[in-house]
Amino acid sequence: MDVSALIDLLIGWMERVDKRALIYGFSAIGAGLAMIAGIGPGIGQGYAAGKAAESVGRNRESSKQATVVMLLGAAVAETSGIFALVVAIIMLFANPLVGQTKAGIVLAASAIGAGLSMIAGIGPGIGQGYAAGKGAEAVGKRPKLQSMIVRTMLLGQAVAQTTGIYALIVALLLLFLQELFV
Amino acid sequence: MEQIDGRALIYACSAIGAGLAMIAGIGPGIGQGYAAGKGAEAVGRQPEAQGDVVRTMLLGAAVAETTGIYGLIVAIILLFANPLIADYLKLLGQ
Amino acid sequence: MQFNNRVLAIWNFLGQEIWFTETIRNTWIVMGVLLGLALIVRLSLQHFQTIPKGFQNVVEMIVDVLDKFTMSTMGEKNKSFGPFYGSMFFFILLCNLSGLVGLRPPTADLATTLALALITFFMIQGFALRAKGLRYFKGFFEPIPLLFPLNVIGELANPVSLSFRLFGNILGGVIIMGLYYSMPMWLIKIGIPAMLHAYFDVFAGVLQTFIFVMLSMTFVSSGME
Repeated sequence: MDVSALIDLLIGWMERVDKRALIYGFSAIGAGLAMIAGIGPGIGQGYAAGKAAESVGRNRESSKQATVVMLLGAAVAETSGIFALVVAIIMLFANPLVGQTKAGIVLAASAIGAGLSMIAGIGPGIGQGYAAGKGAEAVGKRPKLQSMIVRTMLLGQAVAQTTGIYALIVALLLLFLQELFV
Repeated sequence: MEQIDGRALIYACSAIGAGLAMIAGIGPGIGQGYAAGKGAEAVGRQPEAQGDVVRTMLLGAAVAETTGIYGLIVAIILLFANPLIADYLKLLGQ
Repeated sequence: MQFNNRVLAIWNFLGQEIWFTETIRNTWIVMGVLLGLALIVRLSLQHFQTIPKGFQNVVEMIVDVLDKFTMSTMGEKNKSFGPFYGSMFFFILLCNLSGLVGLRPPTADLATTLALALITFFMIQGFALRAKGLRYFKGFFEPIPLLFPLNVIGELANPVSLSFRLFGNILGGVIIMGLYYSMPMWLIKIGIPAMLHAYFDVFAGVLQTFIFVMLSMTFVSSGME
């Protein structure tokens, strides 16, 4: 069995399927892959919740402020999970790839690529969650510095978000701007 | 091999997609576990703060739950209310 | 199983086709409710007593909370943003909570959330320019000119993440409710939807409103620094 026969065995069947079915099928896999990004915010927000609980336990008088900062930081850490959800929903409900006139394999692979690219959301999720946890802890210790701590936390989280934005840009490029590349 | 039925392929891939989507459950699992651990530690250190600590911990855990729920949404959509099949059949209809 | 935005009517206005969608109708409903509330408050404050009691007390307490919140987030000198952010807060809050009443929340549509995020974006640029003049553009070249594209992307990322965060959360709630209500009848009667609504419409809705306004305030005030 030389290599070309093997390749034909593995990929050959794609030619014998209706192009649109192939795209829809691989879009489903892409949507599933995109949701793996949910790992990031899960871990990050859990860390923030833990740090906030610890801070509430340690200094009782600043418990409300620590909780507010935790919620704020955790919500910002949520964004990469939301990006993944939006990309998955785009692929499921408003699939832009089906109408294209390119080869079925290219479009199907683009759907998988978009899903894979969104997995990068794990990073910002964890990182921003860490920032949220440390922010809540810091406000717990020094409640009077809350606005300064929150501003620094948000600034750092915004910077941490950029790789999530790059992943989103690549995913949206793969989905909507097929004509840019071959 | 004969012509493969398009719907069968979409159903097959939807099943894989649903499975992949649920991998997101790792995140909230680890995160909420950490929150529970820190909560227990905080209650251990100040028993009288038990009410506040548990409330904050549960609030944070609820927020951490959302991405797990999003993974669940996508999986349930793919399994029960599959929009891809509907669109594909609509396209076939034309 | 119905959760995407239905087009209710297509109007032809001066040769231009206008799609009247569910989101626009719900937005008008929310605006109507807010206007009604404002009128009620205005009329009941005809007889203004220096020592507030009853209804006037509640209104003053709300305004006071909003002003204190604005001052704590944006600093003393930015107290004048209080009324604007108060009205934005109530608009987004009512939009998010309209899911409880059975309407499709207007914020479950990217158009609404992107519009709100762009308001914030142009406020950030406008007030920063007013506060720092042309020195503001120098800020994009710090710390080293090589970082210019990164700073620009970081700046553009704000409205994107603000709008997608609100849109994704509320749409997630709408989808779950749509899926849940399309399941067989006996499953719905057990009253689980009350908990789902409580989590998605109330908890996530109020939290996302608070987050959107808080982030918008923080970005605008840090832009002016």
